[in-house]
Amino acid sequence: MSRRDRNKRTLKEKILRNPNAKEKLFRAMGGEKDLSFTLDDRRYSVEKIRVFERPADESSEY
Amino acid sequence: MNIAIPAMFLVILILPGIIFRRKFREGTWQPKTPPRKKSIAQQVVEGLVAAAVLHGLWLTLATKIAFFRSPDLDVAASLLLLGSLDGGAETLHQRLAASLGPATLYFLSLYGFSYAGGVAVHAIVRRWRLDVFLSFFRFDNPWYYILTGDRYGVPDQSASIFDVVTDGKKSFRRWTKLYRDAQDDTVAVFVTVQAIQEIAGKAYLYRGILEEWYFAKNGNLDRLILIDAARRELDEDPDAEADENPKPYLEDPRYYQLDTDYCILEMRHLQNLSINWIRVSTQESEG
Repeated sequence: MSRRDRNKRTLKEKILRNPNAKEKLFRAMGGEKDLSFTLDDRRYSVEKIRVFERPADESSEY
Repeated sequence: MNIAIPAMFLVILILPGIIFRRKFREGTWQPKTPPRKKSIAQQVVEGLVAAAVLHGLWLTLATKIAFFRSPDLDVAASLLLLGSLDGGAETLHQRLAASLGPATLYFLSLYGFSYAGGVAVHAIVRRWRLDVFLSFFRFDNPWYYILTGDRYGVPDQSASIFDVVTDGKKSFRRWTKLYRDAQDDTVAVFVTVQAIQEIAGKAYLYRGILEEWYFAKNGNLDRLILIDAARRELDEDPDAEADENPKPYLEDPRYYQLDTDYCILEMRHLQNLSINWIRVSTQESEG
């Protein structure tokens, strides 16, 4: 596993250990939008990826 | 000459291509998420093409290195085509004996080169996310993309060469976003699972975050390991009226949390599997 993969995994573990972050994650799973949380003094946003919906603007093109 | 010799020599000739293709396809995924198996015919055809390129490359490179002697191509052709050299079988045997050492060195070094080359090209494609950008580089490993959330798992999301030519700017912009996501330590993608399993005649809907997965020896996906798993009876699906005001995910009273660290779902018992991806990113990495 590369250093970057390890860092990403660490971030995921931190999110899952943080009740507030985890709650936002579950809410995003349920389809709620505009969710965010703070972790390690950083503001994170949470979004459910909609692959087949064409984005209204190109800035959210995934 | 024995007819088995050309066949055996052909295998020796194609082997570098097969090694290269195999290492390129598998990379570091084996055995965690094995790529789909290919038929022998496909492997041979792909191996032939790759072997032709590798031999051309290695013949050029190897003969530039001081301790290599150029392989005796006349002898190789005679072995392959059951032909003979000027001077008959005795000449062939003499030249074959003389070139045995260099040929052994040539093939062994080429096998090593093919192995390392396959791994290296795989790593380059993954490092630069070329498989995300171009369908040409996409690996035949759909479960990998789906279960890791890498490029969000959808087959038709990478551009074809035609797309790049006709709308290169858009394709490139999309690739840079996905590449940034992959490189950014503050971006994470969670894979969530919803699955229907029948227990004692009743269908249950499970949900949770995918933590781990395992493949069976035959290459089929075998088990999914979920964390924070909950389940409910499928009969409790919302009716049309209730659906207008769905309850927030965590407050949905139909679900009950499973009192376990890991919930293991066996694929052979599942009737249906839904996957979603949740992207977590900092405001700065929004781009």
